[in-house]
Amino acid sequence: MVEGKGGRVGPDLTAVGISRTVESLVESVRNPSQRLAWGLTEPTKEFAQRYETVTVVTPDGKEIKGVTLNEDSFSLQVMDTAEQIHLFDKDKLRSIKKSRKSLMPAFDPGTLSDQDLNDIIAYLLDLAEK
Amino acid sequence: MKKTLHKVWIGIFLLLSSVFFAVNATGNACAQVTFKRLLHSSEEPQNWLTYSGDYAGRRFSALDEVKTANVRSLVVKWVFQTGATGKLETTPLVVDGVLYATGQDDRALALDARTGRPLWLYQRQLPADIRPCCGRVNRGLAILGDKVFLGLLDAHVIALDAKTGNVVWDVAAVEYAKGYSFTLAPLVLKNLVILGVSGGEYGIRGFIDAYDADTGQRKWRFYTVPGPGEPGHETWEGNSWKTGGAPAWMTGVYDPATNQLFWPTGNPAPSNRGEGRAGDNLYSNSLLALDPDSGKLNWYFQFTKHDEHDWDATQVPIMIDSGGKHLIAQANRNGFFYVLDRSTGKLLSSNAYGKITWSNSKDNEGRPVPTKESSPTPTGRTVCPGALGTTNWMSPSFDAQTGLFYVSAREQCDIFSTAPQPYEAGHAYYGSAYFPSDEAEPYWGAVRAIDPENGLVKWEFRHPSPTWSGVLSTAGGLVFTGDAEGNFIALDAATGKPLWHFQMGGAVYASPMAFAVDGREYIAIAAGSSLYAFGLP
Repeated sequence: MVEGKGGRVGPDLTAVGISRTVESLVESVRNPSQRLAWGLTEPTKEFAQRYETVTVVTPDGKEIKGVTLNEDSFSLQVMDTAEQIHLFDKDKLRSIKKSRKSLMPAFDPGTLSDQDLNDIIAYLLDLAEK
Repeated sequence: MKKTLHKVWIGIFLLLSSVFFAVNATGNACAQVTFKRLLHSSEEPQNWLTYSGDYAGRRFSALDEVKTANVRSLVVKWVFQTGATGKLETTPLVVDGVLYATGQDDRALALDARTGRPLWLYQRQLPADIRPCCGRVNRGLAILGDKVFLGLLDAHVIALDAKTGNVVWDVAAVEYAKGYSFTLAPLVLKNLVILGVSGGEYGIRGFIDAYDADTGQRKWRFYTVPGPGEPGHETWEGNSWKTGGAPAWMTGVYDPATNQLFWPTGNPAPSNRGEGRAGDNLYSNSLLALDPDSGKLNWYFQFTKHDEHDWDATQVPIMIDSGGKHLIAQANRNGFFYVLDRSTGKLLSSNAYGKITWSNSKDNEGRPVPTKESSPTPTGRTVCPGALGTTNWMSPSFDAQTGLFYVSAREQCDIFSTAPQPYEAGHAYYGSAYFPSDEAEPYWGAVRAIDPENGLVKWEFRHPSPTWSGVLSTAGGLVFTGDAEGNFIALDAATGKPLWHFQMGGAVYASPMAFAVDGREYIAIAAGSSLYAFGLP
């Protein structure tokens, strides 16, 4: 999402140009499963790791795939790829599987040239400066 | 003659009134807390008189109104908001219906334990340049007579009037600007207020102090880094002892049968760089057995020699009597569960209770030996557990009914790197950096029940992320704990099965406790910036 336009499953990129280095932005596009940032001390995790992919199977056998909005020992909140929010009690689900592979596809130079990627990053940097 | 009779009547009045007040003082809601009461705290389970609930460090409540059969009915009885930000790490004390607790920025308070209504509030005016390493926190206080005692972030120790919160005495233990502070709850025994210093991240020289409870006069100091001519000094290279760390920032335990004080110590400094401080670095990461009357060392056991991973051994140890053996057990930050003979300090067993990669052998005493590959390098090495350890300062618990030792465990590996760093007084002194390891699984947490007889984990309740909550066990067959997601959770002490939980809206950085007023049991825990008390409807 940029300036209110685009999908909700991924992060808001409007100001990402001032919060991430160019190298980090390139890495996030080429290898989106790489975690974006590490801190010296752990986050409190009052909010779960964003953009972790989760697949759940509901009591009626329906499979839902999305990102984890939040989670604790007893409940799970998920946004699916259609941007629907699902609220689950863990003990009622048939299964919960998590993956550190991002829902965002990896854009290698074959699908997104270096020049196009540079243009996107230049756009994000320019946007952030506004 | 008339004047003489007048004096006699005044004398009789004063005598009678002093008798009346003495009787009243032992029978009302503000009774004196004597050392005898502290020694026999198990005889009054309605009160929580010391940081860990008893001198053995068990954090066990003999109250059983709340039990496995009815814990699902547990409700919030009251909430007290400190009005401050930052981590609330307190464990309250409760004495005859009055609850005493600490808060962020060195607050102290007394509440009506039935309702949470405040009786008095104390707020320390802290200097702007204090140097707490890990938050403006305080974990609790101690009580004796009609005074409560606190160690403060400005490295002062104070006594407050338990009825008013007024300062009775205030002493500066050491110069805070060099990185010294107090964050722990003191331990009171006899007429002594005992506490250890924080600041291992600042290159301090650690110590444990004892103060006269009446006057605040310091009675003794034990330096946890020996000076020239003292045994253990040879375990430090050159002048490294002067900035050797070894803080003592968690509350110890006391064995009245042998009159021994057991106190755990923290990391050597700089925490993640061994170069320049060659040797074992005594008495860092050790359990010390001290004579509480003199502060003299009886024995020590060092869990991690020459630590380079910030694995403080400050976890509260628990005294366990089993089969005629007098033991002391500690679930250590380095990932091993140790059982010692507390008369001699002899190691009886050491077993991993979490993922460890730093050791694959033991020495002749049975102590885990680090591999060469676990030592930090300039480019970094992945080691498990990470710098925050398999557990940390959150209190464990021991329930003699189940025979199990309960501890909040963390599963996280870190990449440890090291770099030279000159010492500068009052400035952080790590000599390193550590980062969560990308190769490791996402980190998580758990409550684990360990059988001290064999060191095996009998059950585990898993958290989605590591918690900073301690554990309370009760005679109701329950284990209470909190999580980073804000839940307060009751588990079956025998199986670990979750029986109840409540979402408190803030992460837990505290250890729970229990008390009773008017025959009704309460379980208390801090979460977010609030203190919660739960009970049956």
